[in-house]
Amino acid sequence: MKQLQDFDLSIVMPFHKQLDEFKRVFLTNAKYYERNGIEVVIVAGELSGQEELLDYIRTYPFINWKIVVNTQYHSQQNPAKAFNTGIRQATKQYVLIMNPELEFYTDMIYQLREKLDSYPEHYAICQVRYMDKLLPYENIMAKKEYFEKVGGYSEHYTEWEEENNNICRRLELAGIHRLLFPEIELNLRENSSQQTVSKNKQQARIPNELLSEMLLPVDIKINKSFKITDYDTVIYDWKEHPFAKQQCQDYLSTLKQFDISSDEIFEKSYPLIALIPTYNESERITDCLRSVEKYCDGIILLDDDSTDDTYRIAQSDKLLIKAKKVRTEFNDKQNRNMLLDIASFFKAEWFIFIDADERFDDRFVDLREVMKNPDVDTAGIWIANLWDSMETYRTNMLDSHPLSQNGLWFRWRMFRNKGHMQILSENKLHFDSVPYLENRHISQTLLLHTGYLTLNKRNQKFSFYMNEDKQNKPYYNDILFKTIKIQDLNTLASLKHEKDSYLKKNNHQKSHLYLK
Amino acid sequence: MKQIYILYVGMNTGLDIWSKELSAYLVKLLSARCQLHLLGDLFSKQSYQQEKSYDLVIVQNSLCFIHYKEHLSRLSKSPVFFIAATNNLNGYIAPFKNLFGVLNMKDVELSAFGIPEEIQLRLNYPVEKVSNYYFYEQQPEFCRIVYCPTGNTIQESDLKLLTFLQKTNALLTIVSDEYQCLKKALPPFVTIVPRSSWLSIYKKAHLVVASGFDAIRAMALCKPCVILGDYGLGGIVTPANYDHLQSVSFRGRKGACFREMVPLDLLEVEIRKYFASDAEEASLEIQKKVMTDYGKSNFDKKVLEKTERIINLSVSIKSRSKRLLLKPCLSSLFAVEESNGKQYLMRGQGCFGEIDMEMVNLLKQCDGTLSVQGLAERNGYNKEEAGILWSNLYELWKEKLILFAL
Repeated sequence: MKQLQDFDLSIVMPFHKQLDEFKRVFLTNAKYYERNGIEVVIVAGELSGQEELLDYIRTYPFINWKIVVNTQYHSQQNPAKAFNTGIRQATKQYVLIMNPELEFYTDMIYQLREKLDSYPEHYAICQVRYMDKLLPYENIMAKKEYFEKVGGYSEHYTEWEEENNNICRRLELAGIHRLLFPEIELNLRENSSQQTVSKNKQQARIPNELLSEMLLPVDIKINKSFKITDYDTVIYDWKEHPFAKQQCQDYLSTLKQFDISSDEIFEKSYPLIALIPTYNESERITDCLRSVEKYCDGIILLDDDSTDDTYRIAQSDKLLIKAKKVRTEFNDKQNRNMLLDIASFFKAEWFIFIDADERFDDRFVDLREVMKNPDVDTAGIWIANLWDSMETYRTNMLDSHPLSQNGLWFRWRMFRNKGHMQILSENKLHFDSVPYLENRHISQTLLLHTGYLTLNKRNQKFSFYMNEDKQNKPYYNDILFKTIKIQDLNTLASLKHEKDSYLKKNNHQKSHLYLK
Repeated sequence: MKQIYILYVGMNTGLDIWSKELSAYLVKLLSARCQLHLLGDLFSKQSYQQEKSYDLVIVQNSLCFIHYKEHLSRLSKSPVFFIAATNNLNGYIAPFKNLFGVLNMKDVELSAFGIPEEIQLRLNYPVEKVSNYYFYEQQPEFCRIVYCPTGNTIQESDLKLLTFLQKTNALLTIVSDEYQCLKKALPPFVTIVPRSSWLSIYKKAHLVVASGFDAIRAMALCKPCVILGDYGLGGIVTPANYDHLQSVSFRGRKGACFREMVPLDLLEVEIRKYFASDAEEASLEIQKKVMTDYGKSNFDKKVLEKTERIINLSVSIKSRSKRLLLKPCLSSLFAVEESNGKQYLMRGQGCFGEIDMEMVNLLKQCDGTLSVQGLAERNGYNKEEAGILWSNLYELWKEKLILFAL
């Protein structure tokens, strides 16, 4: 299935006594919604049946659900009110309007979302296959701000078809152009529309007196105020994690061993949680935890079935969960993604990946400043490779990251919580330890890496890497490189970098000069 | 007073009917005030004189720069006033040395191609107020509907209109020279008349179905007008939707795509609207708006002012004494970008190279109030340096990075 690092998309679905239909199509649809940065906003028209719906959605813990009840909305024919509620409640940049009974014939979510990246000021629609017809309506994907610009759906037509045509025309009137992708299809099964008016009859049913105002609107913004109303009651919000305790326990129970520090951890909010994967780190894990607990508000540790006592001795007041999985092979990506799975049960603002052989250099830690910046979503840190002693680091070590310099490695490690996400790298080793890279920031935080501290460790690491990944041999050979340069760690005064010169591409031609 | 000589170069290729009518209008306007010579198949008569120098060269259709390359290179000292009359390639040009101005008739995005907004004159096709020809009949024996097709929508709009009208008591008159070839294929309620007879046909019509300039002309006669054109169905023009429709030059619905499909039932509803109630007041209001926006006197005045200014500027630039009195001003496309401590002169996506700080500081003083001479004096330049300053500013003017006020 095709992925984006962050879909940044809220999918809004109206719900009207359709749970059985929804369940039927959801079995196959679920995998489309479990991707990074997707939020599913369901707007129900009545309070009855809530429990059944909530029971159902809790079985999909890795979908970011939001369930809203709008007591004003009662019509199945015209779910405009429900869509408006959903749009208002959506928290992502893009919104997709979708009927919950539709099935994916092609991966419409990816296809439309990917296209909109290349087409600012456009809305995108695909086709719905219904019986033997293809209908070019119903599913609109656009930026939330565009829906707000036109005041959402009009809410005063009796038929859904009319609302849909009207909002398209008003979007176009507002300068948001139409992108129709006839090759992208959804499927509406015949039996799923028994209660609705046949789609091909609807056009003929639209009264003539409505045609002009519907298809040739004069006012762009139909609802002058488009704010969350008293009628919108949020009964489930993925950000609040109401079922986290049970869901997390269910998840952890599939692993080899786990410890949850207390039941309260799921109720609290954490500004920054550290995610630590471990494997045979008994010599270093305690120092790592002592360092991490100074700067992070919580720690989640996943042990990859260590053969030593790493799991037992890993103790910290900040430790929220420690768990041990079954190791079938070395797979760093799988371990980190499992940490992300567990992390998704917590109310956290930020996460940071820390390795067990790393600790913070107390002189260079600016994590809190980074977190305060609303324009930053992903942050990178620096790593000094300690060499032969805890006071010296190597300054000529090879690294493939373009931002690494002067012996300091640069790594993307910290990211804002945007719901359940996974790292999408194709490699199982050596990848960016963040699920997405957006609004990037280079921090002034330095981690001290003790993995190469002694010759013995370097030999172990070299053998390990050579065994797991032969493709990057030159970098691994460098671990045992004889001509090394080291420097006293105390001489490292600042982490100045040349990001501007790297990030700015200079395409200027240099031709003649004026006034010389 | 010195006789002004203007050469008007134009080619038919790719131009639409309104562009051609515009050229006829301009010929009439300019001929009355100066010696106008014509070159190209846009004109039935040719009066270009090879050995003559011209005070101004007007070019309509950028293909002329290819087809009449030799003629125009011989006239490289004459200022050029370009007419962008379509949105097609023939309405686009790149900046060049003797380009002094552009008459932009179709909202062509020339600034993206290096032509600053300041040298563009944005005008719409001119209309002349004739009179109020509005009349209303709720149930006429025959509904006289006039249709002005664009030629691009035979399969869609034209067919839909015929499909609907053949079920009614309408008499449809198609105003077109080209549609004569379809005469035998059309049903008896349809008449085809040449464009030259548009005025008499419009006057007698209950309703006009048209787009673009044809629609504007109908509204200027106070005729109810349904917009049906290359960009679909815009509906009957009302004071409420006038601005939306005007923003797309009455070519169809705002936000529509080219050759958009027209809902037949909506077309029917929009045409029937005329017969629902007497709308003279609304038609008069629209007529007033049209005359304000497209009135002929305003058009004539602006075109003549622009040509006069271009000729004067050209004379000043050529004159050693007058050029130093011109007041340089940075164009809206001028930009200096800093990178690695160096300054680069930019225009849009293009870079003209590194520029030193002295020149940057000097250019910052160009605000259109200080003459070249004044600029030189302020910065303590001698006569020779003032000459260098002029040549640099002139180089920038050729690229339309600097403009001159008289």
